[in-house]
Amino acid sequence: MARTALLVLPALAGLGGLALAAGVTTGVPDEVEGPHEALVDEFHPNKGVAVEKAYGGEVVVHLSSMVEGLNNAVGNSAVATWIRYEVHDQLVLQDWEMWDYRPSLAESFENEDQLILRPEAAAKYPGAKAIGAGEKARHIIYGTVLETDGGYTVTGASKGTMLGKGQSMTVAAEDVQSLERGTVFTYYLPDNCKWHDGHLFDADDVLFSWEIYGNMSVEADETRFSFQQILAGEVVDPTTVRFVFEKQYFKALDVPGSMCILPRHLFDLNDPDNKTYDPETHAEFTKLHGAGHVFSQAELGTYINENPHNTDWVGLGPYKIVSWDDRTIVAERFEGYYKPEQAGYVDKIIWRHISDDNTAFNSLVNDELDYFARVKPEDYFGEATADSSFTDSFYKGYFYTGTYGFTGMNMLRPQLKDLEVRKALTMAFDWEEYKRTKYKNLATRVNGPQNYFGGGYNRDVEFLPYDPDAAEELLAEAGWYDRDGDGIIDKDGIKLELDFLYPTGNDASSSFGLKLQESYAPLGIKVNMSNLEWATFLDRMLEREYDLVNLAWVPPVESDPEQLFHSKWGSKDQKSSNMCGVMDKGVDALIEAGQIELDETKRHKIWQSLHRRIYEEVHPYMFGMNTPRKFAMNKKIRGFQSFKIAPGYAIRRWFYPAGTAGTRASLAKSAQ
Amino acid sequence: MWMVPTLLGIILIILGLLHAAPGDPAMMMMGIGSGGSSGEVSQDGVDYQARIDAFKKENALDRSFLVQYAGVLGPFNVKPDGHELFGGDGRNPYGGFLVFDFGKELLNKNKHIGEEIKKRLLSTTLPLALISIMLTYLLALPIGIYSANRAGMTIDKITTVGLFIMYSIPVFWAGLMLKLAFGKTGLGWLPVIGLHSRDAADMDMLPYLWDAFKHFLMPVTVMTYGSLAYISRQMRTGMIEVIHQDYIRTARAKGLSEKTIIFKHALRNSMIPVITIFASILPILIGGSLVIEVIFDLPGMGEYMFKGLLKRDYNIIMATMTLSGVMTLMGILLSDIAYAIVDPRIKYS
Repeated sequence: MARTALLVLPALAGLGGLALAAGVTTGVPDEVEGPHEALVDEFHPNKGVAVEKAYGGEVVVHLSSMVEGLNNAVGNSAVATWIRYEVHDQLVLQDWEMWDYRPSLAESFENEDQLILRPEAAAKYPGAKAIGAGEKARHIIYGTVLETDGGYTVTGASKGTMLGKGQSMTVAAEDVQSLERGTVFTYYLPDNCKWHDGHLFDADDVLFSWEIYGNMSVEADETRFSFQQILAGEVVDPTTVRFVFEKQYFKALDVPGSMCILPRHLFDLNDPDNKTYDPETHAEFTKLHGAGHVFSQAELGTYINENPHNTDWVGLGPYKIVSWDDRTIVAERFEGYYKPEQAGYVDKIIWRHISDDNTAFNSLVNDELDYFARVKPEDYFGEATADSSFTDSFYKGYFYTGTYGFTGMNMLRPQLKDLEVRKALTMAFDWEEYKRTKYKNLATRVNGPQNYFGGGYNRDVEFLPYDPDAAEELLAEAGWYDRDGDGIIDKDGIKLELDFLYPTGNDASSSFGLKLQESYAPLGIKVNMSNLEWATFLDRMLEREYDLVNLAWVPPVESDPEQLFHSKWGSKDQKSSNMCGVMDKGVDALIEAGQIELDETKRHKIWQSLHRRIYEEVHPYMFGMNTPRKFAMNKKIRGFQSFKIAPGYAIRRWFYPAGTAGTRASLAKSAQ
Repeated sequence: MWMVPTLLGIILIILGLLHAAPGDPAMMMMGIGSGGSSGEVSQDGVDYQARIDAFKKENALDRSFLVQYAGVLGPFNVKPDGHELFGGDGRNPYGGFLVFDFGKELLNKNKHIGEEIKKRLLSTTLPLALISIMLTYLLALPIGIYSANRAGMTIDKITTVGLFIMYSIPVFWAGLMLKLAFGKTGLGWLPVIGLHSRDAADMDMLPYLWDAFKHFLMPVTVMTYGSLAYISRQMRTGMIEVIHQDYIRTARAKGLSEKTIIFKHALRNSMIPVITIFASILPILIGGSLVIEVIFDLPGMGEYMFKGLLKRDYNIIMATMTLSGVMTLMGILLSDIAYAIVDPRIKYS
């Protein structure tokens, strides 16, 4: 599935709750960090001392939330994705350092164009391929398409193409309905890759993994829409699989590329190999329905939804899950990994779920964890990480991803429908002061929705100034002033009284809300704090029953802003991430243009224009801070690198130095 | 006799409260919750409402309140694959509490709630609860009796102050202090989370037991001290009340030894308030303590119920809260039986 921005509690992103003396600065990401090679052991106290890498040992990594399974089709969880990086593989992977998409499970891939023929002209081209059904049915010719004077020249490029590799044909312009660039992807797979249970991986597994999204009984609601953009898939041969998209889309490569591939022999009741590996379950069906039973979509879907291998994971990665309970997921080295040169260094990874951050930090210093990435500011800057019980065995550091906090303003409310009011709210708050006192300057202000480090972020957009007087004038221009002398400004009989909604237990949101209250009071704006438990909070937010809502986004390095700001998700009856109700034709046009623009440079320009329009002409958010993730790590483990792509680290690059007890010089255990 | 209608009433109230509370399991399922996807990928015609409706239909959340109530009670499954009597296709006709079917978690169809409850009860909650209850009563009764016999004396005053301090200490604070004192940040004697070490499965019997003992020590202490303080005070009060009765004065006048008076004549009668408390302690202990489970990272019942509440997983909430209700009723029943044992004047017909 294509990467998605994640909605998180501000606490995850925030550093709030700590008031410090003004002027204390510990480091700010002023320099723009685009794709770059990540430093190794940047924060390790002995980073200058060269160490020899050894194989072996184990690491225990903290999980703040426990995942229900690793099958992304039936449960879309960011944490599951991070675990799958180690225990599974995907066709294409975005490089953590350079951000380009590279073949991973696929040995290579080819991207071709698609000519959609007019229905009446299809018969003229016997080689044309009929795909899709109903309204989406079409005849296509695909390959590398060159536009000529009279039409198009199509040259076959991929294996098994209709034209023959390197063969060309000419298509008259009048026979073509449309040209969709970069919409046909052909992936070439390895022939020696085995699942963790020893079964050979092939193209059927890939196709099956996509086909399940067409079965409405599969509980893939969170991810289905992404795969419905693919109109057709075909197995060319056991090591070649092809997907055809309906239309041009800038993230198309990432859709099948990051798809969670399932072992068909364990998830498909119709796979003849299924009974070999899951005789008990298969036998139950046979017993119930008799031999020769044709499975319904509901039965096939239920089999996937409730498949024990959603947790008892059989994957393709360098680590194999060996146990899974409420607290712990244990993965050990998979000796049969097909790319030994990319296998990790440690032999065992333990993901340990501890829900409470205080308990987790305490567990860390008690040697129950090796890595913890949710160190609270009071611990990070305080005695807890300065004490010898910590410094003897651990070190600390921080890294930035694109996470940013924001306060959404409900534009469907009469109080907030005027742009002037929304801008005035931003201008009446001293963001720089807040950054300095609450964040110790270890944060960067943002004013746009794209990842701060990505090419779509527009650094030329200037922040609205902190100017309470100008804010007051803006409010007055919009007709908001105190008519009845009660100290609260009003218009058309409505007072500017705002509910500030945030999830219970979130200190960062709470302290921010209180500061808003204090800042707005002199302007005659009343802020009512409203903290609600998460499910109720969501309910209120999605029903648009709020004025201000405080949250954070974790965007990938380049995200599609459609769900956040396109008008088709803006109306009150849409329970979507466009919770502010942005419905702006200019924004829509830019989003739609960006989505189909395949040229990265041009697309980034479009996102930058969108950024400017969102901030200057719509202003649905009070954009907050890009804050770092603060971590603590066992000093014995070396090789830590931080990345801008979540989770921001790669366990398979971590190692123990040579000479550490229980380690060895080479990958193979037998070579000890 | 009234246990069954009481239980039916409890289930009805829980279900009613669940429906009245804001928040919706379908929303959580959509992944808009719990840090899920913002769904920012281009898409056509994603009909959130249709998907929410489908989820509700599949889990019978679209049925009337009474039908849902019937589904919870059983024995008929009222979901689409349930009994034909309720419009189902008959694939799984039976379900509900009457056939001991607690169902599956709404958001994780791999997980049977009954199995999960059993696992949590047996591995964590019951062992902790039993040890804690035993320790509480073993310590609280002698302290209470001792204190009562020395009522007004210095030792009684010291005991009283000490117990009140114990009773006043918040559990989360005590847990954290113990961890700081006995974990690696302090003396380094005790492990700070879980009930077993990671490698416990590979240990021999004795090291395993020693490992378990060390892990149990702090959680059990934290679970016990509050109720110990409370029950010992109740015991003291009950005992003081009894030893001022005429029949005790008579016993003393007869020249019976103080030991005989206390343990033979006074103790049984002074136990009534302590037994009453047992009825309320049992469900609390079986229900687990969220705070203790969070501090020591224990996979117990309290945490499970809390997880159900946060996710609005009606099945988890119904199962765990009903179990708590059953335990309360069982506690009351056991108390009633115990009354009859300690006080022969009480007879049940």
